[in-house]
Amino acid sequence: MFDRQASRLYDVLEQRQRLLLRTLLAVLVLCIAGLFFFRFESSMDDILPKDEVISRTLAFFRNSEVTGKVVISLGLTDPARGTDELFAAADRVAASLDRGLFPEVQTGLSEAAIVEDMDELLDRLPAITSRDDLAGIERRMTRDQISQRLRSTYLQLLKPEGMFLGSLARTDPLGLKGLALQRISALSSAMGYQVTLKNGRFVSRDNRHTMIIAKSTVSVIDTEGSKRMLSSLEGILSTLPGFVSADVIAGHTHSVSNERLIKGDVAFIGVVASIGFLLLYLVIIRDVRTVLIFLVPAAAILISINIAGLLLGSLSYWVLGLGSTVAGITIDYGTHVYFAVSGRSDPGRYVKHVIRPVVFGSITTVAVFGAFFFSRIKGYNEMALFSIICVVLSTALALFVLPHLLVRSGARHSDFVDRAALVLEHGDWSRRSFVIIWVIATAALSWFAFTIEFERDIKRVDGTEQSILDAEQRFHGVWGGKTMPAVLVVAAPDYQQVLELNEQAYGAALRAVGPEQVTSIAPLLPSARTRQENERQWKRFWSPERRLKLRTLLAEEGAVYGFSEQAFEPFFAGLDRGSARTTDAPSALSSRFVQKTDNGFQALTFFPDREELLDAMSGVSSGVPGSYLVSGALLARRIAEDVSADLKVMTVAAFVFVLALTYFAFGNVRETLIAMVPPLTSVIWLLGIMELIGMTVNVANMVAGVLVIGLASDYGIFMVFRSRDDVKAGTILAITLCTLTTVIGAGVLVFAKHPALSSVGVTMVVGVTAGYLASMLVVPYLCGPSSARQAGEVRA
Amino acid sequence: MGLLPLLFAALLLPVQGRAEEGPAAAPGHPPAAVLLDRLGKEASRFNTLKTEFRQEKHLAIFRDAVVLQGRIFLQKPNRIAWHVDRPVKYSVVISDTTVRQWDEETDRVQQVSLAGNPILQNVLRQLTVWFSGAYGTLLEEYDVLVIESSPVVLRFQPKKNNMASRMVRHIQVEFRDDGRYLKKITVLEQGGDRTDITFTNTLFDVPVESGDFEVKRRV
Repeated sequence: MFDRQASRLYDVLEQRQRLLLRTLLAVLVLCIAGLFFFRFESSMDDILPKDEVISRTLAFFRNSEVTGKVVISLGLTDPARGTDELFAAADRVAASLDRGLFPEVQTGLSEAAIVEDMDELLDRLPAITSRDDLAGIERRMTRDQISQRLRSTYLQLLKPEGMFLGSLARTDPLGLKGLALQRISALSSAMGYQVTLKNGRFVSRDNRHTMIIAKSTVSVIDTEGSKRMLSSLEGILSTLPGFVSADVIAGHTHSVSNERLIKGDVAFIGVVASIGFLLLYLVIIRDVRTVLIFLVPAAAILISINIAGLLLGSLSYWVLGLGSTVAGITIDYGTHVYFAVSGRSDPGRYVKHVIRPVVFGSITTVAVFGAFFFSRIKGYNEMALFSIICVVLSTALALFVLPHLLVRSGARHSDFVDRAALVLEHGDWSRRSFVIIWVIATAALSWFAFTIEFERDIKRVDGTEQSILDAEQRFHGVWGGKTMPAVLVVAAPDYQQVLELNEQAYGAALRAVGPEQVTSIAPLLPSARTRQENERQWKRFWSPERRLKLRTLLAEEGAVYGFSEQAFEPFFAGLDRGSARTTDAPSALSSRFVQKTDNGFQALTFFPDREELLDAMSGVSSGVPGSYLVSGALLARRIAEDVSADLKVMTVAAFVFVLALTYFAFGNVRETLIAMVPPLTSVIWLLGIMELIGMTVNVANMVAGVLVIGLASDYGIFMVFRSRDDVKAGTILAITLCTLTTVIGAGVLVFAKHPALSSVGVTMVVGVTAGYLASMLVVPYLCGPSSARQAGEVRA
Repeated sequence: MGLLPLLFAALLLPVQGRAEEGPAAAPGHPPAAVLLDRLGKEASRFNTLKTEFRQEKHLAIFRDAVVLQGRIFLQKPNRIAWHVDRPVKYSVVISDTTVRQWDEETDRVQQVSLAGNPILQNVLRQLTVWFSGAYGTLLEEYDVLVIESSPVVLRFQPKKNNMASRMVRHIQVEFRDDGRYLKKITVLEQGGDRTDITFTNTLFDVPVESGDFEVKRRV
């Protein structure tokens, strides 16, 4: 039935081949033009699973204060130069920045604003002093404690550091402001950065670096905009004097670097793979018509880009990067057709013999790509769509267009190929020794295959160039902040509501992990309700009796150190101040902890990003509505879990599809199982060898791993068909050539600079080679003596 | 970012500001920049210095003025020892990156890393500038008014964007007749508190003993 319909279609199209070729040519011209209208992206987001935690984490970073900002760290390289010259250079850079690209440029903090913030916080003492704090104050109001404190104040005033403390000491004999100051200094440790101020400038601990923070209008994922922005920045930084070094820290550098690397790799892969293919077909086979085989996947890819682009709106460079591998696969169909029709006077008859294996091979490959739709990774879905279109088109072009072009050009391939075909087709591949070696190797590698690990660190497949990583390392060496904390995010539409939830989260966090582990603005920025309650308690606490007692104690004990009777009047005057200056807007000090978002506000509580704390804080998060955790460790864990789960589902789906289709092709269990030997061998050998050479399964190479199943199953199907067919249509030579083309296409990827593409290359080379060896050395023996017996004419 | 430890320092200390305009001179006096340059050159001629000081603190918190007496030792480029003998014994020795402190009350020597202590770092930076004679750097932080040119009396008023302006009304500095070193520093705070430091028996380029830079040398 299938064969009859396929033969009919072939005959129909053969009769209309002129129209077919013209139409194809027109479509190709349109597709070339279409390339200029599509948007290509290089974001890594698409190769991450669609998961709530991952999406939320990425969205948090995207919306955070850090994202979109460009930090320029300027350093003095000449020991003889001073910070004044550094500041002058920083000023020139800041003034030169294009305000269209950098509307906000900051070289430091307004000291006046800091003092305003500090004053405001100290004025809030009644509002931020809790019941427990008041109990602590009560304990300080004994004669001994007061005497000790006044002695300490007296001594401090005599030291150089007490030069301007006289006025402050008058307002705070009990050290109450220390309560607020302790909380403020605790906030500073949250991010681990160590920045000081000098002349209102950001200055590093070594006093040799300053920093410019510029807010950019360019999105981090806008690679074209990022390139323009960084180019403008490089131009400005190139004018810096020789004694000033500059490091640019920005998400944009990663985007541009990834794109540059992938583009470079794609160009490199394209050129080298093309040269490899041409050498293989033109020099070894020595038949100019082989260019036509090469053109089949090229045309298919061109049309596929357009169709996928139309369906998806944009295409990732990822999809294009893997295009060369796909090309290596789809070139197989043309190769089979080429060897079937070469030298035949009646190509139609021989093409019809390969239609069934080619189509079933193609369908199994489509099915393998279909398994990618089970993945939650958008990039995989896109690649599956692109690849399926590409495979279907390649199959159609190879079966219904290529034979006519081959016959028209009429040339023949080299004697070398004839001899090779003869050897391959008549060779005795059915040997028990091969099978024994295969069994031993497979058993040994399966031991390692089950211990392979998933790559948890997404950065390991990030193609950021070393120079950028070096710059970041230098930056962290100078400014700290290398270890990023995890964050408990509390979100609410209303500012007061978010403060209340933040208090709730902070209280729960204290109970869950202890005060040393959490950093929150909650003790300094309580909700209105808590503030009012604190103020009521403060007023009740400072009763006339308590004031009199303290006044007396201060006067009596202060006299010993020469303090005047009125020394601490400013303190008593300040006890009755309310929170008139308190506003709802986050101050400069608290803006890192309470932020405005598109949907309202979010408050952040920081804690060390460690597994045990994450588990405890996860419990806190589940008890606070609208809260969630953002953590690098959690992100890595979730990616590994999702990718691992995806891989299992995709592998099972691919095997089930391939198994079903193979059974459909052969109609019996025995041949189906034999045809499945190459894909099973591929997977076991691949995972085993990866483990042996220290590779891990990552989000990029797992795609290649699943792809290998499809390829190897093709080899199995072809070899089993060969064993039952009385017409030898050059199957072994074709499979060998197919393997070579795939290994060339994927082998070039091994040398790609982008770690993800490189790992894909290794996976493909190892997997395909294993599948080829199994199909050549194991399948014939399992198929039985018929294979050798039926080895009739290979060609005339 | 870890700016917050600075907030405390920022509140308490005269942190530097940026230069906005040139130093002023009262009519009939040479410009302050010229004087500061000349004084800086004078100060650059010595490598070691020993001086006694008397510090009078007229603070509202005290019933009477508090008088401190002690000695300062300086060895360029960056070693300063500040020893207070009365009314309490206290010493602080500043070197490149560390500060050692001792006081009679606790009788403990504390070594503090400047990198980790921005408050002390700022105070000592100011002290170092005043005592070592690097007056030119003060132009960035203060408006300078020449009160007298012979002997030189200068008034340093913190610039508006300098946080010191919140606490310090001005700092008046009198130089010796020969211009080689400070004679008296007067710090007038915004609240009216005043501190006078008078330097006497100043000796230049005399040998300094290693004990002069020990915080517990006297015990």
